[in-house]
Amino acid sequence: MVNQRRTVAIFNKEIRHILRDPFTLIFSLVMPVVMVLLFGTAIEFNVREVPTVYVDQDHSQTSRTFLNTLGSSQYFKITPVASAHEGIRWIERERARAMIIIPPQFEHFLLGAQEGKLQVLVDGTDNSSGNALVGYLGAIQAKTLQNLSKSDHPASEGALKTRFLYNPELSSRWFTVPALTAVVMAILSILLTALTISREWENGSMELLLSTPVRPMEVVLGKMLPYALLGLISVFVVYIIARTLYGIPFIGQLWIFWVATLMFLLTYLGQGLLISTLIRNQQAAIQFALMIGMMPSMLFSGFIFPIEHMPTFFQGITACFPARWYVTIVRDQFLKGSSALELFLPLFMLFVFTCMAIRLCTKTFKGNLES
Amino acid sequence: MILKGFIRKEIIQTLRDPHLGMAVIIMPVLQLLLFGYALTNEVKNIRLDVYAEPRDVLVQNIYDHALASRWFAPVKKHKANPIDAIQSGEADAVLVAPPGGLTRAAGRNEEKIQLLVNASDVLRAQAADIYLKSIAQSLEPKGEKTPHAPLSVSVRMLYNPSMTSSTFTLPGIMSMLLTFLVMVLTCTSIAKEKERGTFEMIISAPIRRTDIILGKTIPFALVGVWNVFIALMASRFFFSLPLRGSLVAFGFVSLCYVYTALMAGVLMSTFVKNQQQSMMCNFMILFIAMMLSGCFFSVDNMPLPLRLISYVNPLAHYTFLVRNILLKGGDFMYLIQYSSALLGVGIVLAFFAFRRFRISL
Amino acid sequence: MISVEVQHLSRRFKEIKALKDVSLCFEAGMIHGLIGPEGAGKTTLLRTLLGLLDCKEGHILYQKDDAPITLKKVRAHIAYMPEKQSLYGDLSVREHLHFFKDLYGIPPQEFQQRADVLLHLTRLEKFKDRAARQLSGGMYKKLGLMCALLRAPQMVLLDEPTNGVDPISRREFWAMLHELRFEKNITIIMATAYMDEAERCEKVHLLEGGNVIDSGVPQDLMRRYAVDNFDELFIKKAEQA
Repeated sequence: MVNQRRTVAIFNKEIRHILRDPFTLIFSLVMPVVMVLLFGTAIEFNVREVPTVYVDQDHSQTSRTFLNTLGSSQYFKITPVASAHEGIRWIERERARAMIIIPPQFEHFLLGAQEGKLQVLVDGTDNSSGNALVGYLGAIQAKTLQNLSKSDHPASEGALKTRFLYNPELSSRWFTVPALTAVVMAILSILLTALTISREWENGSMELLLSTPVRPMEVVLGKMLPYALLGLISVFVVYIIARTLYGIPFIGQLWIFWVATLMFLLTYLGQGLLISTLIRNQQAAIQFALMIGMMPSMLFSGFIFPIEHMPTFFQGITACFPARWYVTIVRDQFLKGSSALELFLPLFMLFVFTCMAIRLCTKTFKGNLES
Repeated sequence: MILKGFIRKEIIQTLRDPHLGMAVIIMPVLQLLLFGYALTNEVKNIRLDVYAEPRDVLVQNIYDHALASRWFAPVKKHKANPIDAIQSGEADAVLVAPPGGLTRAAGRNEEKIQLLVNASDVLRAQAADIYLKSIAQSLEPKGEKTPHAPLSVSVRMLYNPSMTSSTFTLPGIMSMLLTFLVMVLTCTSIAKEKERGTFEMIISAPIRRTDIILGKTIPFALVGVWNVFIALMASRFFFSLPLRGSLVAFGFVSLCYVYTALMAGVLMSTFVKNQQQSMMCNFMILFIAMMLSGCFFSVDNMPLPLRLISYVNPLAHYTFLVRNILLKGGDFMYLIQYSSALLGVGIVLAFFAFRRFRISL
Repeated sequence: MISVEVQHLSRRFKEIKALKDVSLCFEAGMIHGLIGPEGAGKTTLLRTLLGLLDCKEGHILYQKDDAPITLKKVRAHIAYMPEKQSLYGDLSVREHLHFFKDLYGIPPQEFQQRADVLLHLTRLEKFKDRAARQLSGGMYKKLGLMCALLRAPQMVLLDEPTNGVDPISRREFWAMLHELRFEKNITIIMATAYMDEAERCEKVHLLEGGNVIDSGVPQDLMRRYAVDNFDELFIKKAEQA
């Protein structure tokens, strides 16, 4: 069904196109590095030094103790303001994320064994940071009480002791960088292949190619494999950076990682080719590649937004994106190290997607000029 | 007159191709809806299990309270031991009581409940830790250990009292989609003319550089404005995103941004030779701009050098502005400050774009 | 020896009727010219003959050595050279030949022999390593023809092969075609808008607006319409309309 010689001919031709276009070559080798470095350093989920303003209307020993505890924690960076009104303005101008108001007679109430009430206003526009802030405040609250009591025995830090498995320091990098291989490859493969066929249509070389005995499957494979090779090199670069520069452990088995990687690559290359076979206008192909390929692979893969948080209906939808399964495997293999049997479902799904992508490509690839 | 003909040609070319027309007119709204509904960072469905023998009152209490909150869910299958439960992916978090029961251990004042969390997903691990700790704290027996009355904190969430995720993500998605359209379309449409050789024909016509640039940008500016309008309507209608500031201010900053993005597109087009290069260039710039814009990740948490970059990033300016106007009503000083920064970047880009854009090959 | 008979072929692209009930006969071993102004339907006819466009209305019958043969089988013996620039700008002459050699599945020795002959014939030997985009218009066309002829076809379809080629190259081009015709007995069908080239064909088919006006030996046709050349014929036709 597939003539090896013709496939190799197309393969060689594509390799030549890649090598003769330094722009593409450099792009596909530099982009992963830039992405890893940016993601590794820019994304930090552990909120710290939140700019916070306060209004102290009490000016007492207790309020100062509280503010000291607050200021010495790494979570808040506090600045005094004259009035609540001014504090709001700070928040409106994005100079502060929260305001703490210590009411008059705060100490009096607290020492009088009544309830000492603090008012906290949090900027809710970023709801996840907002939630984290509230969480940190709880910790500060307990600490303040401890400082205030100055008692001999250390006050209870709460009955719960947490052990974080697989990522003991809750490093954001450990979380984002491994999954980044998925995003890097999804984007690279779509960018590289989305235009390979539409370009031949626009340039007219497709007409000549179609007059030869070449078959759709041969064109698809011949165009896919060179980019798969390029993709594997990029993943390798990402892997090296993750291991050496960021010191992320790799607990699982390498063969699972690479098999999954290859399947995932083929799937996405297939997706790129599919866009290319369906849409003969390069400009439209670009818009579709960016919108269909890039956005979901970043946002629907669980790479940043956890899938479990999505509404049930959309959780089902994410199952249709191979990136979701691949991210599961990669993250697992880096940090957790499950066996192939435990990862049966994601691996199986990837396999199905790979077959589907190649099949769809050859099916939609028209052997003639009819549109 | 020349300009008019030029603009007409661009619009015809864009809308006549059914795929491109779709990508420009309908896709952005569909994406907005899809992502708006799907992307939430509201924590839920953390699967929690308990290992306590005999079942302890306090542990049981924490567990019940956790399930009663909307964040946690029970596991489907109880495994033999806690590590297994997490390794198999059955549970995200496990409460393990000390041997012999908590009450007795607490009497010795040495033992604690252990919380095992699968931290391969940092976000969920953090959430599980914070929530369970606060639940445990509220349930702890209060005795002679706490000499003071509790220090209570009343928290008020400003601007987004129900803590809806879409309120945060929608403005980011809006500005990203706008960039996708305006910058990418401009750059690729110029690259396309270069690739096909039609650029030679255009520049051989008696036409000024300004006319070419205007002719290439105005149609996409229209596309951009149309999409801003539709996106705003859709967000208000489907997600009841508030518009607390003035529509005029919103329109003004959007125009500023469309202008800046167009100029970025034109400038980039002077560096590329064909559509593939244009796409890759665009993607690279877009990606970096997006990462450092606060669209999805708060800029506040980034290291200083990266934060400095965000001060010259037009996408960041626009995202800040949109969020401020929509959610906070748009502080006047803030608007002036950031829209002038945005325009400033636009003018610098335009300067270089015009300098580099040559009417020769 | 391949001959083709077209029966009542029609083709429309949305509102535009490109071919209207065309019936033609392309006898084996001759140089056929499809002559007509722009938009006459020449390219559509060629593409349909090759199966690049489906034959939806009408029939096309192929015969090889006087025995009927299907399109699928006959395609292996037909070479095609599209009108549009259709080569890969960044590949060299030699790389093009190697690429198409593999696509056609030509054995190495045979390839060497054919490539040498073709390179000699087209005088592209000196430019073997030049990238296609750096070739002049005429050389580019010749490279296209070489890629088509590499498979030693029995029938060649050429779509305006001499368009934009200088007179000297055109003469060489024609010399090549005649050589092919007489030495290898290849059937050649070429579309052209140059009326002077029509006189060099053995049989011409006049197309206009998707209709076949007439077919025959060029000299006969000129006599029949009482004109000195085909330019005049079409101008006369246009004036009548």
